[in-house]
Amino acid sequence: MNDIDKIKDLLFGHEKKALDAITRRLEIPESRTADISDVLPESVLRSHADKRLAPALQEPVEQCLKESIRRDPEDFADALFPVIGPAIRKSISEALRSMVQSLNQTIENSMSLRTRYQAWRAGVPLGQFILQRNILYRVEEVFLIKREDGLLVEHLQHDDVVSTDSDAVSAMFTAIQDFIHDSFSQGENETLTTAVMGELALWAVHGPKAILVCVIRGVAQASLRTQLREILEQIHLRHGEAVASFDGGTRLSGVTMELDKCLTLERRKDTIATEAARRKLPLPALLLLAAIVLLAGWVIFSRYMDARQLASFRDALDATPGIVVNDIQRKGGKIVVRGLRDPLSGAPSDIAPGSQIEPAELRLELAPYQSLDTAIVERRARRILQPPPGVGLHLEGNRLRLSGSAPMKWKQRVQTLAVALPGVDFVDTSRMSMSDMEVFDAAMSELQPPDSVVLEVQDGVLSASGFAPQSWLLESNRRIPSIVGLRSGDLLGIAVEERMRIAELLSVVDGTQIFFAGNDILLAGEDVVLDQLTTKIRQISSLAARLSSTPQIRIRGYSDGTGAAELNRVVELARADRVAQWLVDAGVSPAAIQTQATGSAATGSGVDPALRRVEITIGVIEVR
Amino acid sequence: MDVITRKICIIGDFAVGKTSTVARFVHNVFSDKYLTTVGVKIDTRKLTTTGGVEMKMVIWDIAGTDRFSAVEFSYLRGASGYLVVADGSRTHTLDVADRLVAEARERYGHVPQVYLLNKSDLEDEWEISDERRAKLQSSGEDVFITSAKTGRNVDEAMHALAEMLDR
Repeated sequence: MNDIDKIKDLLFGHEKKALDAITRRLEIPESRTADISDVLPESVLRSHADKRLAPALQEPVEQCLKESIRRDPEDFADALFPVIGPAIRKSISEALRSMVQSLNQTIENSMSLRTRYQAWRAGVPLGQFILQRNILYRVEEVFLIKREDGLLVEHLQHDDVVSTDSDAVSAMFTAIQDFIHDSFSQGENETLTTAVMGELALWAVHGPKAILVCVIRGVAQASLRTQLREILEQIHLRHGEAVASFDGGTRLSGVTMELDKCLTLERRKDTIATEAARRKLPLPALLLLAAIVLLAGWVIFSRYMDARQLASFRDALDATPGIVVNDIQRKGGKIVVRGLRDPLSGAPSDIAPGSQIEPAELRLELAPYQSLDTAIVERRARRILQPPPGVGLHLEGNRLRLSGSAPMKWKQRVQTLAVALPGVDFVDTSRMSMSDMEVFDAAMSELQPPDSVVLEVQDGVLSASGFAPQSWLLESNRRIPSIVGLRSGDLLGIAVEERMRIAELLSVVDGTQIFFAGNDILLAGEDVVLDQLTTKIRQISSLAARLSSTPQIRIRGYSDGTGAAELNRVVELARADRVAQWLVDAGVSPAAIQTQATGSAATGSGVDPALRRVEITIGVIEVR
Repeated sequence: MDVITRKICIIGDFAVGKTSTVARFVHNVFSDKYLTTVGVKIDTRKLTTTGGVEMKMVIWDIAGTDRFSAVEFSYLRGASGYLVVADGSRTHTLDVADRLVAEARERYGHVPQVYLLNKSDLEDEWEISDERRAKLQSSGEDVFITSAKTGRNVDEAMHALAEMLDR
């Protein structure tokens, strides 16, 4: 060490040591790191104040973040979760609030057919349409507020809105927002976005330099916020610097134009109608719709025709005796008919063409049964009874009526067979034509004539001869109509038996003479004649009574000319009375007897026993 | 001609008469209720400066306090000027006013301001010394002796602030 070095050491040795120490420190990275870490926080704080640090750090920090997110997105998702959660909740609660307000009106409108039609035309679901329709609102005022100090950059309102001091309102909004933020909010970036009072709502959209506040009357759609945000973004893009440097001086005209858009944001009933009209279906869709309508129409028409065809076929089947249809339908290209069918009925395949149905289309599922339908019962009767040609057969209720002529043997067989047929309880052959012999038998059995009567039937006409008592004739005349198979006839050829016998008796007794010995004394043996006479007169009376008639007896007295004429009349009358008395005594009614003197004797003609007599004439008269 | 708008804050201690002092010179938009609820009430005042500028003052009447809270600080943000009000009958209120001004300046920097020493009608009870006032004026502040009761000097004070803001 030379002198100079010594002097140096004396003068600067201390500094040199310090310099060496500093140099050593600088050479050791660990000690430099420690030094920088000591001053870094303070340094960053200070740099923050002169606003150069942030731009300087922006890029590396962004890159760090990007890299970090790329490497492990989950950490960031977790970190963001507390922020995203409240944001979602806020959004949902806002939507719900709007929904509830619309609900009453929605319910009122939900039943309207017109609304449904409009919804259909607009091409949106009914619920959505009603919701949209009831979201009616208007942006009445709009404020653009400088974020930093609450100064009003611009204010616009509709002409019909009552004007307030917009600067004061703007300031107060800022103040209230600050107040709410500082009093209740915990997040630095949380802002007042909505305030609601009755029908009015304040919607605020926040940008970095300005706040857009709208006064909205009514319930606005959530999409409005997006529109407002877009307007605010435009303002920031075009006039961001002007807004940031706004000091309450000259209004920013460009901003006014942007804000004016906000006032056009409204939704009224007429605008909805326009929207609906705009949403009207385009032409291809209309054509498609028309095609669908035509197709549907054709399908409906063909279904209708098909149903009509089936109905007509079913009617035809139902009208066919012996077929009962339970069900008829199309199935797998076939017409399936289910039900019951009597084997004697008409075949459905024969009926089908009447309804324009091909028999091949049919599938019959018909169970056999015995029908009691009149036509079928008659058909069955014909099949079993085998009537000879010319015999008619038809059913009235449960009575089988036969007509025409048939052999007796067949008729007898029918009587037993027919009642065994289902649906037949009685057989009526009364309308069947009969042979004369059968009619004769019927007449004989019906009239039961006495042997004195001969009946004859010729071509169904009855004639009779012989005689018969009046009583039989009366009864038989009454019975003639009851004779089965008789076309006509009478009993006029039969004599009345009583009349015949009366005539016989009268021929015997009429003109009977009774002879007298003298005066009114009977000649011997004349009493016998009188007895015989009275017997016969009594017989005549009895027969006449059966014919409602009575005998009339006239007794005329005769005399010879031996006495005076006057006397002779007395004698004649006495002789007549004598016989009359005889008859009365024998039981003949005095009313039937008439006596008279003839006064026939010629005076002085002498005794003639043949003239001493009475002459009796008898007739029968009808009693009225 | 355009109207320029300026945000003005009235600051001062409790019961120095801030609201009543400006009440008759401003357009009352909102009720005083806001002061007790939100802690601020906004009024406006239009005036014309000697330079012929139409100015609209948006006056933030901040509720009385001896120290700004976070909310009140936020109210001060972006203010172009202050009306600083103290009660002439209570020197203490001027101390509070000074402190509030200092706090505001610390946060937001220097803005024009005028002092209103209020309640000049209470002459007997006047407490603020002339020395104190002179000191204030010598430091470059505009000081007005005002009366909320008579309205004395209030309009002048507001005009003075407007002139400062127009410069």
